[in-house]
Amino acid sequence: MEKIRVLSLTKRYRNVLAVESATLSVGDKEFFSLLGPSGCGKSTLLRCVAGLEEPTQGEIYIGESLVNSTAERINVPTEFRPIGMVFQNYAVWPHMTVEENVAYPLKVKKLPKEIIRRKLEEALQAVGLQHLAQRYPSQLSGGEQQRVSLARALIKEPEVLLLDEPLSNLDAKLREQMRFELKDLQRRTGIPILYVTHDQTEALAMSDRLAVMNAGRIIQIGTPAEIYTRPVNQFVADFIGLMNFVPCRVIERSGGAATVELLGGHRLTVADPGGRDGEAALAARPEDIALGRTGPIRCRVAAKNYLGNLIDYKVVASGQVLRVQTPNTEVFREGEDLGLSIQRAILFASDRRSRG
Amino acid sequence: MKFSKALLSSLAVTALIPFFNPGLVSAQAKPGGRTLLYTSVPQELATRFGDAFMKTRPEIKVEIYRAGSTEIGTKLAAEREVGGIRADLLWLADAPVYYELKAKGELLAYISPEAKHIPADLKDPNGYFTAGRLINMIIAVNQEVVPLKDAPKAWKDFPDLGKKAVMGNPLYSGSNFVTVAVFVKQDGWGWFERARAKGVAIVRGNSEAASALAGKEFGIAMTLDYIVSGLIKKGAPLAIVWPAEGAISVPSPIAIIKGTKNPDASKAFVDYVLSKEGQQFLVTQEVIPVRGDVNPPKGQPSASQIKFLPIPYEWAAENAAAIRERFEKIMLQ
Amino acid sequence: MTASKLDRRYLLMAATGLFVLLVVVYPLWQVFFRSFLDAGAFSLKSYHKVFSNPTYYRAILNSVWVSLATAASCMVVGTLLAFLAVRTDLPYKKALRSLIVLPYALPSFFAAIAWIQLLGPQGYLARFFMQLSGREAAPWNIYSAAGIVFVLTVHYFVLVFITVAGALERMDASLEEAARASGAGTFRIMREITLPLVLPAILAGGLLAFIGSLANFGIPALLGMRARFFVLTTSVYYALAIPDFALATALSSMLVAVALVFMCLQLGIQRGEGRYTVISGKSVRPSELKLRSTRVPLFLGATVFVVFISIIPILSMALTALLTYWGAPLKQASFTLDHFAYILKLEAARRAVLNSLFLAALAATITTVAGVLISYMHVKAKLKGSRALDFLATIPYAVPHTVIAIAMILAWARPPASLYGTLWIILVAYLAVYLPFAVRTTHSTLQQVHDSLEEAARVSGAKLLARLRDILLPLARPGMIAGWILVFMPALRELTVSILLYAHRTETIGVTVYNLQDAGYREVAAALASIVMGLLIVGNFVIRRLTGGAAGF
Repeated sequence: MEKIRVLSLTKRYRNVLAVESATLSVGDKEFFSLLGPSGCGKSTLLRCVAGLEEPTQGEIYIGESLVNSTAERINVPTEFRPIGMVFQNYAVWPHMTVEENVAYPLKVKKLPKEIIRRKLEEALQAVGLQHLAQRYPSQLSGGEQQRVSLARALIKEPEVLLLDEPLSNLDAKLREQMRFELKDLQRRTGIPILYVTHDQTEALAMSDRLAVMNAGRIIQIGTPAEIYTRPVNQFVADFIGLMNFVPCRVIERSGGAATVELLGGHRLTVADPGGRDGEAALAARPEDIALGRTGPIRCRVAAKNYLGNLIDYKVVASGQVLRVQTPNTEVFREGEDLGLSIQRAILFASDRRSRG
Repeated sequence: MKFSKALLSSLAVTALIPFFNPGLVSAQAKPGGRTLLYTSVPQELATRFGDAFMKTRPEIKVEIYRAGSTEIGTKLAAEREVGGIRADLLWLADAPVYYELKAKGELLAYISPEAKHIPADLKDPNGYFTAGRLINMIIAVNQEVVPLKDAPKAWKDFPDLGKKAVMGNPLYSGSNFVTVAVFVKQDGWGWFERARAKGVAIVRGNSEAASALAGKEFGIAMTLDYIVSGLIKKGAPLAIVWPAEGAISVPSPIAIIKGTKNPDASKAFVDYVLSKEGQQFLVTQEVIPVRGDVNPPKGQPSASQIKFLPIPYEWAAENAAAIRERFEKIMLQ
Repeated sequence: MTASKLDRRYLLMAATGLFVLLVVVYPLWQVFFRSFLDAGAFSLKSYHKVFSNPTYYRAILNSVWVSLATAASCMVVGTLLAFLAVRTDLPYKKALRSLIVLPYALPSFFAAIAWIQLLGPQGYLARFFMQLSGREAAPWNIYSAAGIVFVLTVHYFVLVFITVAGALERMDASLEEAARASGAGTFRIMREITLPLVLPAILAGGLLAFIGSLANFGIPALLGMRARFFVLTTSVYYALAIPDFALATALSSMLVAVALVFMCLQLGIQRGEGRYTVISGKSVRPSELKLRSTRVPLFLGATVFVVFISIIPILSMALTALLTYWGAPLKQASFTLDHFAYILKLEAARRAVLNSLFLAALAATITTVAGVLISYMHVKAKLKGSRALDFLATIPYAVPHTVIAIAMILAWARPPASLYGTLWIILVAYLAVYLPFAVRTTHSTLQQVHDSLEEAARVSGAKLLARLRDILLPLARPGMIAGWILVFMPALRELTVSILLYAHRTETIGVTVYNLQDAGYREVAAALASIVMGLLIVGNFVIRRLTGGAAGF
């Protein structure tokens, strides 16, 4: 069953189109991420779901209920939506203690004191803040403030949890830790999460599914593996992980495959359901390129970075710079002449406009 | 919530104040017992006078609005725009205003039985207004700046002191306007052109002129006698010169507004102002009486001893705008 | 969960809109349309008069340049003092701040009188100078355009001081620290980092000072006449004395027009510069600049300045209240407490103090609440039309108080709402006069509260009133109390509006002081004004004590 449904949602500010005709749905117990560069409209989309922005067009359902519909002139105010939300800057109220902050959603619901008491303890326990209940936010670290914010979002037992770049203000170590905690929390509570981030590692690691956005539009929706291995266009391919783009020319087509010529006459046959002709771009991940003393395409090692489990090379082949990552089993020197072979690749039309 | 408590308590305090202060809501006295007076007579004098009247007629309540002539003029103009003047009685120093009000039909004719004791030139023949007190425009001297022997003895010499001389602005003050009208009617604008050329200063009104004189900013001032007398009484080194041509005695008329809701109470107040008793009370407050049978305050010359210049009221009322405009051109631009 | 769950913010907006309509728009409209009337018919006669008579068009030019000069000097003085008082280790900074705000509590015509007593041709300082130098006259003349600019500056620089001090306090210290780390010296940081960052605040304060001096009547009225120097407000007063209602309203409309032009200009500049640096919930304490060797000289300089602009005028007023008559020689026989005894015995004066306390407290409370709501709608909820509401609520700032009083008579003296002759019409007029102050102060206060703090409350399920009560008001509290005082102080001594609207037993302090002054009781008037000043100083002290220094000045 779907917990959030967004149908052809458009949000326009004066003459800027922030979100254009976006459609997505978040299923029960699903961790769904909105991923994209800053200014792509992902936060605006999230804020529309929260009711903090009013869509220019479109419909939003949370659970069973229609919370936004421009056609039916419905815009349920945020405070009536069954949501919890964590903000990028935590938005912990500085004039209230941790306890007051977390209990606030129940207080405005006017629940009996003893119930508030009990739920408060549970919520503080869930985020591990029992010992700091009486503190004021100014006496807490960033990570602790983040947990207060999370506890506050969860205490009213919302149907969905909205997270707006919640980890971006934390340091790397803490970010890693919170990532696991969040995932764990979701597994325990089963609450569906709509998560906004510009960090692709974060999105790939945590999401069940994600939507890649650019310039107000959703470019692709899929599982992390789908997005990584089958990006629909150059933008997604480029934005997710590392990708080499090599100019090439289609010289022969048969069925769903195309034979291309690249890097000084080398020929390669790749799957291409799109059926492109003429100039094109071949996209290959660094780990999908094999490097060896021999190999069909001649190249030279320009730079080398030791990453521990991997070795990251910059090689030059026919004037084209390529990133190649190989296991640390065989190590080449800088300046060494080698051969490379492309194991797996995707073909895109070379038109730059398709990168959006 | 400390703040909302503070807010609430401040509200509570302010809400309590009215109970200590009956004046907050305009008192609703019995019908027929109330009359509202607009006056430029000094606050204290007006209040004391009102109290004295109410002692003789306890069933009547006089309410007093006191402000400068200009403010009262503004208030009257605004009130006219919204259905008429609200005052029952008007007692200003600005005599020409009464001619305007009379022409507009806004005054109630009433010939007080006391009016027969008042000289004819101090009252309107039809009873639309009657002088309630006299104020005299004189030359005041600060003896520490200009020795009395060097002070001008006549109006014609007044401009000669140039920057040491000061006068009030007729655009603000009614009594100054009357004075200007007298001068212009008699001799044209020459006096003012001379004053401007020599640098005579213009201030807002007579009390400012007198204060500035007492503060030694000037040597002589054209101002009102009772203000100067008050300062002399407090010890200021001032003196009054009664000009050779004559002082300008500006009657401060009292009149009843036509729309008065309480003609009887208003008439009773006018009667008291003109009565021997009322005038005698004014004398105790250093005011020059309008009745021949009441002696002036001690130390002040009686009306018969002073020479007065005739005042062309109707001419001044008719030409008010032109006089003000010309004065502004000569003295203020 | 359907459309029936209306966004209550629109209800609130409608309510505040109605308030602004009744208190500001309707009364001012009553004035405005009369400027186009001649004997009941539409006419441009009055505007023709304004532009053909040199007295009037010169008055417009005079108003503009005097106000510009005042704004410029206010910006310099206010900014410098704000720097000293907020960002340095100057000793006794707190006391300095309290003293700087004091002159603002002085009625402006009283301030003018105090300065005449000091700097006038026979003023205490002028006489001191003459004795010292043996000359005939002091080398300055307070009865001049320069004198007007000077007194206006002393009266209005406080507005720049307060806005800039606030901006400096909430500025992120790391911005300056970054510059320091880049190797910039103190003065370079001040010039290239701090100054540009607080520039919007300086301009905003400058605009307040500009419009304030544009609409000021008391100071040019007392100082301009002898120099034959007239500005728009004094011309309006003339027009009323004539009385030429249409001309007065036409001149007032010109005044509002000039103010609007400059308000729009400033808005344009600010848009170009980017808005205030908004600081999130995290509180950062700006670093203090070590003055080192300049500490003592700067302290002495600031002290002399504050003594000169704050203490001496008040002392001069108190001295006048203690002298048998103004101008009396300063010897023991000339001193008396009679004037104080007199004022304390005067029933009208006691009543006036109570009336003014009531009006000022109520006006400050209502305008602060309305100001918060209007600013909330504009700054936080960003509702459609809130910008216009904000703008309308600011207009009265540019309208001379006399005109506001007339507007109130025209609007609220007729049935069904005949408030004329009661305290309530004075209250409504005060609301119009002081609403702009409240809107401005709460505006900048709410801007400091990060949007997400309210959004988090919405997500928590808090409805509008709960959000205002639990989140926004507590966070905006210090600014609101400061704003409350900023309305309360001038309202306590308001004159121009009250003098036209007061009735039997509804006199205010300003009216009483003015009537005493006008009748030649200058010393008694000074005694009453001194008592009010004393009340304000004590009140401020009590508020500071009660709030632990969080509010008050």
